[in-house]
Amino acid sequence: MNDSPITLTGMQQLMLAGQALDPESALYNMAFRFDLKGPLDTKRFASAVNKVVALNDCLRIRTNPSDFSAYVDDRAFSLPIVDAGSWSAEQLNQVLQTSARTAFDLQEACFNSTLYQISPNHHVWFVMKHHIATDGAAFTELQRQIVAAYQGNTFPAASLASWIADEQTAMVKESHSQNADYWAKKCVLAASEQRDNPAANSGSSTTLRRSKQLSDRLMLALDEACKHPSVRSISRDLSRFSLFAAALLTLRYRLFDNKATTLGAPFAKRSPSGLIAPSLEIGFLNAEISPEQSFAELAQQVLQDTMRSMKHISPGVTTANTNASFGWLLNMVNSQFAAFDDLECESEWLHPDSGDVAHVLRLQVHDFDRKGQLSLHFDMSDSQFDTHTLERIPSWFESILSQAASNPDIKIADLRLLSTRESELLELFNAKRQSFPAYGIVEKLQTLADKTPNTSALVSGNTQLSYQQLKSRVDDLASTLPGDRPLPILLPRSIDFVVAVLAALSRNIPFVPLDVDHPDDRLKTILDTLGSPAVLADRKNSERLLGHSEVILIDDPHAHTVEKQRACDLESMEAAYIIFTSGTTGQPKGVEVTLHSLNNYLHWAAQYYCNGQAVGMPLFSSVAFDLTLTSVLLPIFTGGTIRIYPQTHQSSQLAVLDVFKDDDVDIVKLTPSHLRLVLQGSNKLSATSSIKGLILGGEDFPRQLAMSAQDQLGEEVALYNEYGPTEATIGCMIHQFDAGRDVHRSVPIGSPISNASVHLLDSCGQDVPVGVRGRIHIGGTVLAKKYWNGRLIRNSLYDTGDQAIRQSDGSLVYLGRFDNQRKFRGARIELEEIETVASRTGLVDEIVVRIATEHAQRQHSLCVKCGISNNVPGIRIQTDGICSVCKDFENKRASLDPYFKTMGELRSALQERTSAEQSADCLAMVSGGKDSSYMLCKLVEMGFRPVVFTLDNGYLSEHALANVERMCQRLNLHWERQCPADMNVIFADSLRRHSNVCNGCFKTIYTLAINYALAHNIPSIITGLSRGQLFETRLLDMVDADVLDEVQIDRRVDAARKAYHLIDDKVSECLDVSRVRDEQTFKQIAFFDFYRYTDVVLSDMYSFLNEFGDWQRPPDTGRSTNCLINDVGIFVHMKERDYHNYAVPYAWDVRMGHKTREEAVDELNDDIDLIRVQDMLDQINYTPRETAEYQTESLVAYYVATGDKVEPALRETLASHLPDYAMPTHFVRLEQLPLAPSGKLNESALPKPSTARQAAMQKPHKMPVTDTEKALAMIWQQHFNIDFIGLDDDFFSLGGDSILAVQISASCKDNNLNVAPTDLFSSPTLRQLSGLNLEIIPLEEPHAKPNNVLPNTGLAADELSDLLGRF
Amino acid sequence: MSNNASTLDQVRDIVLSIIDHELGPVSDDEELLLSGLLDSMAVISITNDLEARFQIQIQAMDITIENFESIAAMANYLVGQINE
Repeated sequence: MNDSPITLTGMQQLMLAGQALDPESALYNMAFRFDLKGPLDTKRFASAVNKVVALNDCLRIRTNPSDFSAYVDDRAFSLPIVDAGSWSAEQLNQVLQTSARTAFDLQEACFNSTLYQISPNHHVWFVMKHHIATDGAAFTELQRQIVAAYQGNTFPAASLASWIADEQTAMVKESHSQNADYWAKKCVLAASEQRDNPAANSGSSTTLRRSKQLSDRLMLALDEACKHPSVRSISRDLSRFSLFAAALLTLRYRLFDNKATTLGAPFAKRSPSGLIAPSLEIGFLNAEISPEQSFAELAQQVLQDTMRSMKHISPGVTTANTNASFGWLLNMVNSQFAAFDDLECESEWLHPDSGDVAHVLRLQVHDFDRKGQLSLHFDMSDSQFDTHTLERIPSWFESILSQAASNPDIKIADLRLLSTRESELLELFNAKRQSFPAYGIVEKLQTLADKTPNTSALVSGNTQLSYQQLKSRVDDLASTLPGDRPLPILLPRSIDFVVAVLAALSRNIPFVPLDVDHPDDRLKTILDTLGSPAVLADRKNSERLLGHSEVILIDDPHAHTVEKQRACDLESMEAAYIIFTSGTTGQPKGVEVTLHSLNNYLHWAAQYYCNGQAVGMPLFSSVAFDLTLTSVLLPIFTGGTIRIYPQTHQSSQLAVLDVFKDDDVDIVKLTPSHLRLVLQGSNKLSATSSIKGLILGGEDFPRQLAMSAQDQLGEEVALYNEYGPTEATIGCMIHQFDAGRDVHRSVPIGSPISNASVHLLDSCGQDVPVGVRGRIHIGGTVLAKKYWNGRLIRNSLYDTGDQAIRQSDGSLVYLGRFDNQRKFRGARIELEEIETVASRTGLVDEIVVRIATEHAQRQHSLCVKCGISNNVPGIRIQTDGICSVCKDFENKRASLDPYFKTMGELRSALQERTSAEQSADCLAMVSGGKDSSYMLCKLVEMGFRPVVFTLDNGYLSEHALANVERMCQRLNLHWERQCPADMNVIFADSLRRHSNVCNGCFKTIYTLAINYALAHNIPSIITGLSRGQLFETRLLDMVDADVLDEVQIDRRVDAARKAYHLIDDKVSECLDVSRVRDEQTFKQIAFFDFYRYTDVVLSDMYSFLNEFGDWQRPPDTGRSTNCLINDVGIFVHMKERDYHNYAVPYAWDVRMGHKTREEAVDELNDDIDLIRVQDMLDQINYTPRETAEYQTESLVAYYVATGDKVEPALRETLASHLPDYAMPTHFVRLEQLPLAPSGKLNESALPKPSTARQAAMQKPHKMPVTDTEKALAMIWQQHFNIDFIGLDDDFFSLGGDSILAVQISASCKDNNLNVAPTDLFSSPTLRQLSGLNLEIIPLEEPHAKPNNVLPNTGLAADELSDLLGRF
Repeated sequence: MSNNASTLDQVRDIVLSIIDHELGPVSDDEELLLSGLLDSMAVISITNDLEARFQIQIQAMDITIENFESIAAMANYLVGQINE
């Protein structure tokens, strides 16, 4: 083996690092099979291969993964020849595929080749290279050389080392830093790139290849399209590339609605000239797509960005940053394999089934065999696409490309993805036109009154009404109703209500059901909207309308003659009913549904749910909710019975429990939230139960809930999922749950009902394919005609704003509201997707994820060990008073020991870098404070001659500067004091970004110090960061991530340092950053953190400095620093982020034993001179954001689980499946998800992550005294998940609701305390509750274990730049 | 004209330094793009060299067949740019 190591190029190092992370996967294998037909001289062939390998040392490199260096293996290669004459074709395929899938051991080789002899006239040549040694063009060059060698030609040897040296030379050119700058800026723009599928597991390197060959016709069309003025360019290859790229971007946009996106592309650095080594850099294009632009315009945009990119390609521009900026990649290989003159030679690119983890899709396009036809390989990550999509992507792409090629001016929105056949299939799912009988509910009532006059139609408590009685009451009432305006009905659930509805229907007067539980304001808004018609109400509720509306009293309709009302829009009078929905704007919106639509629904429902038989249903849900109309009308329509559960004041939600207790109906229609409530209790159904079916509607029906329902209620119960916005008449899609078949997170919403047509459209209004997310659009008879405000609904497809995907059987699966796509910290996240991942873990029963906005103000307590406050993000003080970081650190502390070194090691490391020509041994960053002054003395003591570098930022304490000056004089050192002009701009920027001044200041120091060191040939820079700061800026993340190995830590710190300097901010604007952005710089200069090499406690440091004599503690600044403006940083940080910016480093100082807890806490409490701070804020022109305005946004997962200690496992599993930005920071365990009056999830009742705890802490507690109080307190604590609840804490303000009431009641009964759910509403404190007469049997031992775990406040991930700290 | 002539000379220098000499002499009017004498990457390096030599910026949109199809076309384009 050759001794001299070769340093690989940046691109090669990136691949080596990627491979090191996943050594078993053949991520970067490039393998070919060549079928050589005809007489091959195998000996001559083998010697040709061996010779080419001998001449090209890049085929013989072996790498050392620890330092990214490479060696050339001097051993000769000898091509193995295998007799495969007896093998079947399948066997050979197997062998080759296995070889292609086998990862290289890069310490051994990066090249591999074998010749298989099938017959004298058929040989198969297998050749495989690792990408560090090749690319597409280099591969063709290799084959070309082998063919030439076989023909007897010779070549000069090519040296990898000299090629790399050329690359390195190129990288120090000025043009390189311009190019690097171009890509760095482009990366920043791309950082906001949207992801296709944020919740998809991003950790898989398995890829599947699907291939396609373009037809001759399409090739011709492409050639024509290349001449289009928008894409015509200096070479046809470029034009072709633009067309392909535009088609790929269009496909991505159409599948994922991704408008602003990037596309990776390899670019040759120079024309290939006999080089076998890789000559590519990978860059990327930015593109903005709008559906209205033409394809040619998009292609032109691509072409121009391609040209710009090509202009900025030079060796070394590919970095980890550029690689992270794209997920899809287009690789158009322009080179071709050479012909074997007398042999027939056909190549096949063998796919290794793996690929770079970051690449979601790679489209490789080539014509290696010079057929004049392009071959397309789609290499797709199996974790990012479902099977259906993955299989069809090639044909969708081809479809787009061929439409665009034949008509480049076509609009993006007009490009069709689907083939005619696919479109026809979609239509089939909708073909359900069915006529239905002309009679409706009114006619049906008449018939029933005649045919089954004595059958009971309504039951409410002890009151029954037969069909005959019902009919006569309906007729009575109907005759008194004014018929010129819609009829608002303000009645509680009652026989009267049903009579009123039927009376209105029989008179063709649109009825408007109102819920008596609704607040007056809402009722009045609706009545005003309707033009204040007379309201049908009972006496009790009529009082609420005094002075507002005329009232028709239900029990005495003749008492008041309604004056003739102002007529309204005649068309509105054609509605059967008008239901007011909340509307996203908060303004109630009236939806007018016609009798025809209603009859369509009733006929369908009667047939579907009860096969035309009489059905009994309970009326227990809110009457203002259209879901309830099924319960009101379907029993009458089928001749069955409505069992009415009257409205009580305490909680309308609890009625559903009675429905199941009574078990006196056939079918119950309810929301999933109702069902959860039911399952909380001990309700069970059996084969003998009356209840045979549940119709779920109104919100997403999770599969898990359906499963629990079947477990608890029995599998005999049919579970129907009925979907339909109010605009689509109660329900327009239906699915019956089948546990075996329905595997999605949500029970499918199924297929359209009769006369409904449902389309899933993308944002261009085109049908999306099966398996692709789209928006549900509804058409057909089911649609309401218009809104009360006049806006038409039925004139086009109704856009529900709901998202779904279609399964291959045509049924739809609901994926959440379109609005739930939210931008969070710059990234687009989809809450449903996170929920999907979470529920797949099987750890939680229910989960909803929301973005919570909270004020940063919190009560805080301090860790008993390190003194850190729990209002620092990520810090949790546990019950023993110790913070989470201290705990974690204790376990990991020993493993970090090797990171810290001795002074001896610092000395030799520095000496090693020192040489006679240098003007100084090192550069020491000194501010005159204790840490840097101590460091300076010690360096000199060791015999070094540092240059003392000070950034005079304009606010350094004069005493500190005087310290430095005195020390330099006494030690006879050169003092380099720099005062940049733009410090105030940098400070203001730093405050804006980090709420402190230090980040900007540190970056300035580093930039200036590095520039100075380079200019003066100084090899080392020494920082005086304290151990605490080392932990804060370097080690904290490592400890978190369990990276404890010093080599790894150093590597990560190096990488972070480089990235840190690439961030654009005011420092990069105001200072010359070209050198700190140049990788070479970090090879020339080494950084040493002095306090990594020494461990000195604060008191020793002070006494050393006192002894030294020329140092004084600056009296004019706080103890945290010697810089006056630091107080501004502290002030702003406290104000904007609610905690001290020194809290973290000081806590580390304590943990490291450099400070006592008291010293740290004491220093943090130093007073700040507010007047001086305000002066400085004025000087730098910065206004702190007010605390009230400063809100933290966090992702909160609210979950219900049965297991113990669910959160750590949940966090861990989610972390491995979700990208960082989609990881919830808070996990709040709830006993149940809260319900709104409609029975849907009550979003506003979801507690803020810290609310529950706060509520319990805000007032002085009254301790529970009696046994009853204690027992009740324990139960409450358990259910609220709060450590302590005082006697006067209020059930509701703690977040209590009906569900919790049911649960607490149940727990009380378990503990022999007789508490009814309603007791908690009437007596909402422990004191009041225990005052009730609860038959108590004293407890011997607490039955329930108090749950001492505080709700987790979670870890708030800071912004990237914050994490990167200061380097 | 002498100004143009010297531009032409400099452009020729740059182009010929990039073109593979084994292919024989290249005249000022010879078509370079469709003939395959220059591929797109070669054109880009030429633009970079021209930018450095003439101290101008060549916009991506200007890198067209018309402006780069021959040594003469490039010189013509450059004269236009310099005179602007």
